[in-house]
This record gives sequence, structure tokens and C-alpha cells, in this order.
Amino acid sequence: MLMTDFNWRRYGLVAGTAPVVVIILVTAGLAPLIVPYSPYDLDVMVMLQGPTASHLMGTDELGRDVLSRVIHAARLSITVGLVAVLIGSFCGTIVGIIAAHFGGLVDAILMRFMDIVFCFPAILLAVILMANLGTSILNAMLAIGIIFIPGFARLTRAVAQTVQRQSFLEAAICLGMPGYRIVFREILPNVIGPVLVEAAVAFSYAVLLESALSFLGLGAQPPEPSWGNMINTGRGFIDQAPWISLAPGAALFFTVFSFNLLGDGLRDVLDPKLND
Amino acid sequence: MLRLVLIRLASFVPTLFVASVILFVAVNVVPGSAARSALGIQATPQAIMRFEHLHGLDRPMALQYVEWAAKALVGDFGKSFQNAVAVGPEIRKRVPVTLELAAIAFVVAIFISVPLGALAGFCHQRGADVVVTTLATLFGSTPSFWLATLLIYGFALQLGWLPTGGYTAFSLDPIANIKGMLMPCIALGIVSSGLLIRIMRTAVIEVMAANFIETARSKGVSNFRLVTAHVLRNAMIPFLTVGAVEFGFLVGSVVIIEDVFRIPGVGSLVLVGIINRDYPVLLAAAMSITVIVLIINLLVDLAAQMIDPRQVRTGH
Amino acid sequence: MRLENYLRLGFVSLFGMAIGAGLPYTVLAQEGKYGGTLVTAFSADPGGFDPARGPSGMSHVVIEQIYGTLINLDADAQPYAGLSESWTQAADGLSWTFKLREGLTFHNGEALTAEDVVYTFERIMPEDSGYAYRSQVETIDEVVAIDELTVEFRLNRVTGPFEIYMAFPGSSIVPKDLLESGHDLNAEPVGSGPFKFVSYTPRDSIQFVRNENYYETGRPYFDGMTYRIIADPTALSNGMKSGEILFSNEVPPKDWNAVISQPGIVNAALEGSRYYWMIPNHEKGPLENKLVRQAIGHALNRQAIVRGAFFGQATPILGGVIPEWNWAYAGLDVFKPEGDIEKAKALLAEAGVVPGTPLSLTMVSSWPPMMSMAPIIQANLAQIGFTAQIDTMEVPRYWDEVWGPSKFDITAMYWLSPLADPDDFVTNTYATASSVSVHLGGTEEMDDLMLAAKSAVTIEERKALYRKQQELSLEDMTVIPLVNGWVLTAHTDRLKNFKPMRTGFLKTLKDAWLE
Repeated sequence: MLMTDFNWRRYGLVAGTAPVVVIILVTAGLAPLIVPYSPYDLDVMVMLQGPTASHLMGTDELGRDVLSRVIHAARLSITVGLVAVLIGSFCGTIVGIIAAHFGGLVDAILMRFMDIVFCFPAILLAVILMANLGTSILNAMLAIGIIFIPGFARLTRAVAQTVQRQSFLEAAICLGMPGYRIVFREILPNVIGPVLVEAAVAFSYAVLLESALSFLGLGAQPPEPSWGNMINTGRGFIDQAPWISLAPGAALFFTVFSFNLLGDGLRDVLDPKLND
Repeated sequence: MLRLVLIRLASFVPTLFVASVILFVAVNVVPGSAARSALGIQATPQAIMRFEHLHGLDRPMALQYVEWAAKALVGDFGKSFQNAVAVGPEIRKRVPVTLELAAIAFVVAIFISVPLGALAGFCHQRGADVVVTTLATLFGSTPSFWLATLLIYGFALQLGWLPTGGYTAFSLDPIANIKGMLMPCIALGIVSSGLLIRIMRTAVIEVMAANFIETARSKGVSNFRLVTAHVLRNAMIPFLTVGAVEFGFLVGSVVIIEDVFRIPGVGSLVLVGIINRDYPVLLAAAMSITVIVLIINLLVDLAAQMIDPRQVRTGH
Repeated sequence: MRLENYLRLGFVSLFGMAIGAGLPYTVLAQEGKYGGTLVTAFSADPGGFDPARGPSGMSHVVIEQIYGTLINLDADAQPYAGLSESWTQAADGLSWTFKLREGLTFHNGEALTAEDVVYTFERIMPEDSGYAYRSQVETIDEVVAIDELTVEFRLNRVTGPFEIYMAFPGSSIVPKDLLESGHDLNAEPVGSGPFKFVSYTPRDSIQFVRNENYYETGRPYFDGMTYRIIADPTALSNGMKSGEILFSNEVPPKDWNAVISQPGIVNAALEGSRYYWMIPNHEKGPLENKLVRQAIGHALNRQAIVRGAFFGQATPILGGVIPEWNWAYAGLDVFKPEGDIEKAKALLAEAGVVPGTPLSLTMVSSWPPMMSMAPIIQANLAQIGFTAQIDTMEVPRYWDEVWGPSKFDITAMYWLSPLADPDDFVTNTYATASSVSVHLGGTEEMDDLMLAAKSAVTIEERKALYRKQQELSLEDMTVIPLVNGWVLTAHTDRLKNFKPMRTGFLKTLKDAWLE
């Protein structure tokens, strides 16, 4: 296949961003193996030093290597993002399919509840949830996952309803096909596409939310490195050592941007019309 | 039409009620004794019991809720656990600040997204579209708190043009007010414009698809400027109605931005309430933010229905 | 001719004498400049302004300006006459008699008499009063008004720190008549101090205005004061650098050097009574063995903690926790500033303990020095074979879930002693049972020593007893002392005659003025 034959419009974005995303994922996954220093190794004699040959991104307020901490934080953020999206998409899909399948009162109650949760600004909900559950990485995954449920629920419900309206389904019901079979064979395959696209976007939002929570001191706690808490600590030293804030922020921005572009690309691939 | 309006209004009240119950429960099961927070390291068990009894924390939740809600409806949000000062006046002072921040930020976002979104829409599937769409993703991917830190570093610390934070009321000193609002609103505005650019783009594309051919024919010679203005005018309505949802996200983000820039709005008050386990303060602040979002959504729904009853915003 | 000369001489002499006599007056009058508003900054909101209820340090910083106490403390924490012009202690130490000044008034004009003193203490003495510092007044049997200006305190036990307690903001004299009429002192304080309360805007500021009828004539100098509340430490530093804030004793260590290198800012930092210590849980595994605790004490690199957590603005505590400036300082240096790993390992070997299970190091996430200390301590523990895992928690949950039930392996705490009395340094920390002492250890011998030291009559007796107690404390290593974090006070050079207080209090502001 020649380069000119390649359907750039459809696959271009995915082709371009996928490698970047893979690199990010691999770097994060292999973090313990590739970091030059342990993210916890401190040496107060070299604290607050700018980028040098031995510390490419400088050192922080306890003399720890910023680069190593940024890479480790990548692993944390990506893990939180993945788990949160899994929780949200899994639970949300179930809720959406149940609502679409049973319809009527069940549908009305479920979706009303989803609507109300949806109307709470995400950060507000996240902050209060974290205060309740306790500030830890596990709870951050849970809290963010919960916040995603309404979005996935709405999406899958809409898709499921579209599928249901198709006539061959009525035929299947007449023939006595059991409910769950219908779900698995007809509804789920149609749901997966849009859910995947939504998941990519939700993932980057999860990474942003996790960073926001740890920025506010409600997520990963020091000395555990998280982009958010590094940016927050760095704020206090912004005049003495701006790299402490700038490095993790740049990494965060780059990651979120790459995944969002990937989401755009997936949308192009799966249904170019969706882009409009 | 009036019927539709009344129905929409009628659904507002139960939504508000359920939201308030959710918030109340969520806040009151936050672990970490409010008493200890208020009384400090030397608090004796008797002092803690006294505190909890004084503030009715040892009574059933439902009873506490009813009492709180009844007072809240008339604007009495109780007294702070920390210093026994009434919360209501502080909320009344802070809500306008948050509204000012959110409103100006939204205006900034509109100023960015309308021209860019329109450009992308007109140049659909061509070079400019790709550039703008990528830019929209770029803006939307920016963490607001990092952008804020960058702005502070650049404009406040290095260049010294703007203050690092704080707030001055407009009535006191308009210039200082604007200076203080500039960076927070730009940070919020840029991030919000990510989504808004796409919405504008979609609106323009749809209007063009629907109207372009007709308009061009009826006007004979296609006057570029007339067509453009016509499309824009028609696109603004769907843009605003859909875009107003983004306003809700924006209000949520003020929690962080108010913290970074030390702006005394209800967003930063939420964080104060959480850190201090000051339930009355936390509840009042969180409720204020939720009410603002609900009211904006309500107003936009109503406006949309009145302007174009066909465009009923369901399932959003 | 001669007569004229004599007359001239006489006249000049008389004139000279007149001027000479008046010179001190003019010098005094020029000494302080009246006027101006002192703008200060603090990081926390106060919890209320009633001396009997205000539990937090921030409340006390306000209370000490608005109210008066029977005795005041000067910059070196030495007592001098406050509302009472003189006082005596009975020979057996079981009663104190105070003579109030004449003509004392509260800010609302009402007279301050012995009745108010009796009322003040009867308010805080009962067990169910909810007063957080009851341990200060628990030895008082009764307070009696002998006459309008004389009050007698009858004690059931000799109380060494009694004068200090009378100078404590919690012992501020409150207006009896006003309170009995239902006034809420917690919201609107009315006292007899150098400044009157004007207003409090939460999270914003507290305003004071000069008390024109203050009993110390000529004081205070400022027209008023503003206590700004700035929660973000960096913003506080920026405020000082920009000159918006004229004074603060809460400058964060990380910005200290930047702030005092600004032209026009005076460095008034001094070692105070804020010390940090590590608390091992005596019921957890190896920590129950005092040799293990000693080993940990020796393994710590306090130098690194001073540098990393306090940016150099602290003193490593190398022996007992009572600091050098205090009269009960014992000078028992046992630790090396950089730590002594060999000695620590030897102690572990002597104890026959081989570090096995990991220990948890629980720190409060809201206090930056703790968070910075944690990894350093963790590294030190690792050097002697202990794996420490850092757990963090925000303050409110920490009190309930960690501190109260003593659910920790190792934790750390700090205390800024508001009294300058050695009892306040050691009792709460080392006692076998107290709300501040959660180590689940301690010895009866130390308890007895501390009680005896508190109840001894002369300073020499007390000093000897505290020396013994500190020796024992290092032997038992009930808690592990870390460092003494300095009180970082900085102010504009326009502020004159300000003497910083080691307790972090600001009573001496009444003697300072702005050029």
C-alpha cells in the first residue's frame, strides 16, 4: 500500500497519535526500570537545583530528581485513569443497558438520578467524594470512576435504544430469544464503538481530574509523586525553582493532549460522520 | 408554550431538592470529627461531646437535614464551626465574586471560540479546519491549574505586570479588579474554549448545510459578507444553547482557579470547608455552586424554548 | 559687675537645671511616635475571642491585645506587673495575693475590680467548664476578693509556674457584669488591653483600634492594627516582600532568605518554644524496647532535617527538649547533629533486635515541615535496617483516626509552647496519660519528677528536678526529640522598639511604634 493510497482523512490522526500514545504507555509502564534515580532518593545538599547533566529536569525541594518523579507520576496517573475509566464504563454500560432494556419506570428513575449527578460539577463531586473516602490513590480511582458513570450510562442507553428500534430485534423477540442473548449478540457489539471513543476522551479527563485532586491535596499524597501534587508543591517554589512545577505540568499536558488527539482519531476511524 | 415553561420550572424544584439531599448526606458523612478540627489538639472528650451536642450532630440525619433546609431557604446557613460567625453573609459576599469570575471567563471563551469555530466551520474539511480543530483539542487538554501557574510565573513574577492573586471589588477600584481578574479568566476561558470551538464549528456546519444553497440561490449573486453574517447569526443560537452546558463545567473549575489565585468566591470556600471539616461552610458553598449551575441550565433551557420551541434540549 | 556675673551664672544654672530636669521628659516624649496602623499577616483564622473558649494559637494572639492579665511576660518571658501592680506569694507557697492597680477600666468604661478577677477564674476552674487549659488552674481551690483591689488565690498544691499561668491569655480578666447580662464575648471581645476590638471578617482580617484609656500611659503607639489572614504561605511572603505587610512572625522557612534580603526589612528571628518530636508507639513490636528507641534517636540526621524541612531555620535538639534560652536548660547533648549510625546499630545489637516487619510512619499532610521530614526520617531508619512506610492524612482525620486512639507505629508532632515554663515543655509530652501524650509509654518516675518540679517552691529546686527529668527522658527515650523550629519574625525597618517574644506572642507590640 503506497502512502498516497492511504486514507489519510480517516486514519491519519490515529496513525499519527498511536505511536506517541504507545510510547507514553510504555514509558509509564516501565518506569521503575528506566528512571535514572529512585523518585524517593533525597539529598538535601543538592536541593532546588536547576537542570544539569546529572539531573535533566533539576531537583526539587528535598534534592530528589524531578525527571524520575515525573516518569513515576506518569505511571500513577495512567493507572488511575485506566481503572477509573474501566469502573465508569463498566458500571455505566450496565446502567444504560438496563435502563434501555426495561424502559418505563426503571428507565425514568435511573436516568433522572443520572441527570442529577450529572448536573454536579465534576470537581465539586470529586472533592467531596475524596473527603469522604479518604485521600488515597485507590479512592481517587473510585471517585473518578463514579463520576464517569452517568456519562457512559447515557451513551449506552442511547445506543441501546437505537438498536432496539431496529425491526430485526422484534423478530428475534418473537422467536423467543432470551433477553440476555439479545444484549450480548445485538446490543453490545454496537455499543462498544462509541464507548471506546468516549473512553479515550474520558481517560484523558480522568488523568486531568486525578491531577486536579492531587493538586488540591486530595489525591496522591507526598512523597508519592503525582503530577498534580508536584505542580502544587512547585507553586511554593515558583520563584526559586520553577522547573518543579513546569516539568510535571508539561508532561501532564502532553499526555492529555496526545490521548485526546487519539480520541479524535478514533472518532474519525469509527464513524467519520460523528466528527460533525 | 407557557405549559412547556411551567413544566420545565416544575422539574427544577425536585432536582434542587434531591441535589441538596445528596450534598447534605455527602458532607455529613465526611469522616474526621468536625469537633476536633474546631477545638484543636488539646480538646478533651467532654469538650467534643459538648460541641457535638451544641451543633446537633448527635441527632438523626433526617432531622438535621430538615432543620438545615428550612433555615437555608430563608438564607440562614448556620454558623461556622470554626469561629461561630454566621455563614450567610459570607456566602452573599462571595457568590457575586464567583459569578463575576465565571461570567468574564465565559466571555473570554466566547471571544476565542466564536471566530475560530466559525473559521473552522466555513473551511470545513480544509486546512484551516484541521488546524483549528487541533487547536481546540490543545486548549481543551490544558490543565487549568498548570496554565494558571504558568501565567503567574510569566506575568506576575517575571514581568510584574499583574498581581499574583487576590481580589479587589470593582466598586472599590475598577483597575485593580480587572488586573486581578485577567489571569484567572484567561486561564478558565482558554480551557473552556476547547469544547466551545467545536460547538461553534458544528453549529456553523449545520447551518451552512441547511441554508447555504437556498440562500445563495435566493440572493442571486452570492455576497460573501451577507452569507457569512447570515450563517453566523443563525449559528449563535444553537451555539449558545449547547455551549451553556460548558458554563456548568466552568463553574466547577472555579474551585481550583479561585484557590490558585486566592479569589474569595464560593469555590475557594468549598476547599476551606473541607480542610476544616466546617460542615455549615462546606454545605453552603457547595450548595451555592450547584444552585448557580442549575439556574443557568434552567435559564438556558427556557430561553432556548422561547426562541425556538423546536430545539428542545433533551438528553443532554 | 561681679553681682551681675553671679546673677547671670545663677540664671544660667537655674535655666540649665530646668532643662536638665526636663531633658528626660523630652527624650521620653520623642521616644515613641504615635500614629499609623500596623498591618500584620497570619495564616490561620482564630477560633473565637473568649479567653475561656479560644483554643487556638491564633485566638490567643488576638486575645492578648484586647484583654489584660494580672501578670505580663516580657520578651525574655520574665514576669512583670500587668493589671496587678504587685503580688506576693505566701511562705508555704499555697496562696498568692494580688493587688490590682487603681482606676482600671474595661473598654466599655466599666471598672475592673477584684470581683471581675474572681468571676474570671470561677468561670474556668470547674471540671465541666470546657476550658482547654484547665491543667493550669486545677491547683486553685478558691479565689477570694479580699477587698475591691485585692484578690487571693488559695492553692491546694504549690504551683511553680503560677505566675506564668497568670500571664497566659486564657487567664485574661473578663467583665463580669457584661457577661452576666448575656454578652457573647466569643464574637465581640471586651477587655482591658492596649487595643480595642473593632471587627473580624473571616478569612480576611481582624481590626483593632488603640485603647485611649489603657492603664500604661503613653501606650500603645499605633492608632490601630490590622491582622490580615493569608492562608497561602507564599502569598504571605509576597505580601512582606511588596511592603503591603509590615510585620509577620509566620514567615515560611522556604521564603525566609528571600524576604529578609529585601531592603527595608528587619530580621527578628529567634529560637523559640516550637519544637518537633517523633512519637514511637510503645506497644508496637520492637519499639517497646528503650534501646531500640535510643537507636532510632541516634540514627536521625537532624542536620538534614534542619536543612531539608526548615531551610536552615531551626536548631537540632541534641539532648533534652527544653531549649537553651530557658532557665531549665540542662545542656545534656547526647546526639550528634548528623546522627551516629554506628552507635545506633550498636544499640540495636545490644537490644538483640533484628529489624523485621516494616513500620508505618504516619504524618499529617497539612504541615509542610512534617511532609519534608518524613522521607529524611525514612531514609535514616533504612540505614539501621528499619523499613518505614510513609502514611499521610489530613489534620481532621488524623486527630480522630491516628492520634486519639494511638493508632500508629511512629508519628510526629510539634508544639509551640505558649508558656515559657519548662513544665509546659515536658509534662504533656512525657506524661504517662494525657490528651497530648499518646505514646502509651512513659514511666512513673518521670511523672513523679514532673509533678515535683511543678510543685517545687524555688527556681533552683525546679531546675534541678527538670535536669533529672531530662536525663531520664533521654534514657527512656519516651519520645525522640527532633528540632526546634525558629520563630521567623520579619518586619519593616520603620517599626522601632519591637522585641520579639520567644513564645511567639506579640504582647510587646504595645511598646513599638512606626516611624
